[in-house]
Amino acid sequence: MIRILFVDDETDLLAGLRRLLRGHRDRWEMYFESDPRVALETVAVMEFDVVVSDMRMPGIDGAELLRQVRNIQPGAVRIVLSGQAELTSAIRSLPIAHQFLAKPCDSERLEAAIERSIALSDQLSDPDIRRAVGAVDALPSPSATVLALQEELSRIPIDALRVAALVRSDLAISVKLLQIVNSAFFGLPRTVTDPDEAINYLGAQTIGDVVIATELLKSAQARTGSRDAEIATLQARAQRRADTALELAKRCGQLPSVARLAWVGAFLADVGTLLVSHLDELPEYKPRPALGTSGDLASALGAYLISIWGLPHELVETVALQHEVPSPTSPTVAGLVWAAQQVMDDVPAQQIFEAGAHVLGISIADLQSVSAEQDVTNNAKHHEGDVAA
Amino acid sequence: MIDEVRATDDDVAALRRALQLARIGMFTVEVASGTIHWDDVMYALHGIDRAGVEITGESSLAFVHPDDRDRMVGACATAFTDTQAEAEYRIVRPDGAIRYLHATFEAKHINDIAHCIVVGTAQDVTQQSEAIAALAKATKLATGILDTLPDSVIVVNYSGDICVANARWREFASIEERPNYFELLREILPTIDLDEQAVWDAVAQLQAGGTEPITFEYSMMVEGETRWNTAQSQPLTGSNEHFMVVFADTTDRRAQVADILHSQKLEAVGQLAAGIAHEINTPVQFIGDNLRFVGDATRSLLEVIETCEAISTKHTTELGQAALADAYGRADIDFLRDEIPLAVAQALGGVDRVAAIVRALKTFGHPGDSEHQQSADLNEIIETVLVVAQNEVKYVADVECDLRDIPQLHCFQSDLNQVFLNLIVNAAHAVADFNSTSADRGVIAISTDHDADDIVVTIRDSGGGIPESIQHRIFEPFFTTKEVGRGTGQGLAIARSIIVDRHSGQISFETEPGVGTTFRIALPIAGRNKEQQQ
Repeated sequence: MIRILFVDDETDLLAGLRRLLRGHRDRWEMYFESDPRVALETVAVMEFDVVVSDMRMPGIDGAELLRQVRNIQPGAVRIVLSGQAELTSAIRSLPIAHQFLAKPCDSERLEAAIERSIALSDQLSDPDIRRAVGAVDALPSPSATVLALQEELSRIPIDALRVAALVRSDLAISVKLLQIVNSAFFGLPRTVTDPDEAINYLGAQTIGDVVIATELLKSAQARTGSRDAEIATLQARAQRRADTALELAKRCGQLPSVARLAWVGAFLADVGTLLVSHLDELPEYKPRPALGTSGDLASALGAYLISIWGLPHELVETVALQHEVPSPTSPTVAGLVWAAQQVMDDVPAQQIFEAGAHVLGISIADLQSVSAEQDVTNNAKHHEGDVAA
Repeated sequence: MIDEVRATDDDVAALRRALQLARIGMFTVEVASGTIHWDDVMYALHGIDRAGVEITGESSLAFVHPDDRDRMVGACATAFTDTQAEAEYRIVRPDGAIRYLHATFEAKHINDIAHCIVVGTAQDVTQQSEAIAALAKATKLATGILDTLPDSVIVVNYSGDICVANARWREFASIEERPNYFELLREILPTIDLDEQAVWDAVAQLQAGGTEPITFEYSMMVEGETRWNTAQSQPLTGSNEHFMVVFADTTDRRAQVADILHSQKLEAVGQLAAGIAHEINTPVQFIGDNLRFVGDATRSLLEVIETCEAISTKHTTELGQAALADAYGRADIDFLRDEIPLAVAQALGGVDRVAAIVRALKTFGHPGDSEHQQSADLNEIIETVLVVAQNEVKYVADVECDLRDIPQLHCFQSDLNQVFLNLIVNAAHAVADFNSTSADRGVIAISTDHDADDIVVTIRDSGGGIPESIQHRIFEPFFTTKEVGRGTGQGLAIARSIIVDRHSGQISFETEPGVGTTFRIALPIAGRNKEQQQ
């Protein structure tokens, strides 16, 4: 059973939800509380998988309630269901909520949000890890990116193209923007999988607000130099993998939309690795279980994080399945990401082809030429490094 | 005359002395010899000493300012034909000083060349001339100031005669045609929205020496346009028999003030809308939840009833079946079976509409980012605007939308909201005015489409069209044909500026009297930024 707590000061609204969601009573154990103080007392004594809360409430408001829920039960997925359907209030609740729903919200949307929150939790058997991931409000960005972004955002007028270029290169901010743009607060009728599209929809001003709300600068400043370099390296690798996946997708004749999704998927594939390294850093996350370097665990964590953050299903799937050898029944995009990683790991073309690339329609020649192109790029990068040194 | 009177030598001497005292110089010119005689005053006037100076025609002319020589010689010549002549001319003294002389010339014995002489007098009129020149300059300056004023200014005496009128007034009404202000008032007052008695009371107050300025505001039609004016009357400073009236056109200022008030009002409405949205969204949420529950529960209940029905036909006594049939009949069960799901579905549709209106209001209330461009779907913008404008549109016209698949547009969304709101409300007004005397409804057709370069939006109305005489003016700021309170005259000017200046797009229109008007907007898909980069 999934245990869900709904908090709203309107008892009529809670009664309506209770009736509407009654059909789920065989799978969901639902609690409804109109007094946020009593809700907090309940949270202190009972474990919940999901907490859904209104924002404006007398006494303790939704932001404060969810902040305390995060402290008491970081593993519970926190969803805002607010009548203040403005983007600014979503951004304010960014650090404390995983997903944002706007009233009126139909049952399908609400059900989807709750299902998404718990879909991958079964795969994370260690409740400590779930708690750790649940407490994460933002992933780290290299301080150079954050500083450059702050500078761009303080210009008048803001040069939207330069902001977009910076954001596009950053894994952590891209994920955050996808979270916002796909929230009900933004009110798009469809899901957005492409960070570029998210940048366009949100605009420079909102991006600035997100950077401020997630305190990226503060966390970047608190970081050591070697850790910063580690993050930058990880991002650079994600970019290379993304370019490789895009190239492979083009060569095997995928539609431009699939190719673009492969780029995004391959870029986000490292979200788990970034998350694991971030968790290792958190002081409150102790004792550390052996997170290790297992790619499977990292990708499971990454998929879990973007899933509870409400990112589109296609991206969650790609991150989760990135290490699986492609089969005729597995998703194409995840397969392309797998192949891109193989190329980057310098696995011989013949071997990649036989292992699974043939399923995707990628030829040995494709793999060889993409691999050669990558070597050229790497060498060029290497030389640049020499010059800089 | 003097010849006939035969004046005595004493008389002549007395006259000379008198002339000397009056500083009037005398001279004679003997025409035959060309000899010139000056008296002492003449020498003094020219600033030279009599001793050792012989005056000839040539040397006397040399004193005259080169520009004035012709005039002086001309006057002298006139004396021969007309007997008498006078002239004013400048002389340059040896010390360089310029003096103005007024001279008279009288020719005697014209027919007897041997005795023919010219007798003349000369008087220094420098002071008077300078005063007159200064006066002319001051008058010109005052007139210039008056004529430069953007307002109409007249000075009126207590009988109503217009004594002074500046250029702006003369454009409006020539003094020759309307020499009397009071007559003009009698003619015009009945045609404008002013209390006649109040105006005459004000005039009486001024005539009685009142010193307080009196201001009236009124509107009048000028070339088919409503223009707003103020007329301020007050006594003329330094005169107790004139008052001055200043007429100022305040139409533009009123429009600006109205515009500011309008935007402030919009802002207030927006804040209110955001607050109300929160209040409305909560009940909308549970009305919807409960309706869905009722719908689902009804389906379950109907299934139960059907099961009962099935069981009763097999297992119940006739009496039991009759009782059941009776209960079904009283409840009109077939009707309920059909209508309850419909009722629920329609009520849910209503909830969706409320939600859509609240969403649209919120979009307008919080215009969002006006400084940076965002991606937006023009079709969505138009649909939101239609929700907001529904009240203006739905009673006068049917809306036909043909919104094709168009690419996302990089744009200033809140600005485009305003453009389409203006155009759609204008279209609704056009249709309403055209059909005002009949019960007919018009059509507003909106289409979106795109080609390789542009997204094209057309908004067609079945209104009366735009009269040819004003077609070239409709994009001008403050140009409006609407009555006061219905439009600020800013709508199309703002639309043009947003489309052309902010988005590098184009806006144009086609219109046919009695058929309607179509506005066409083309917005470059590449957006403004990319265009600038290239």
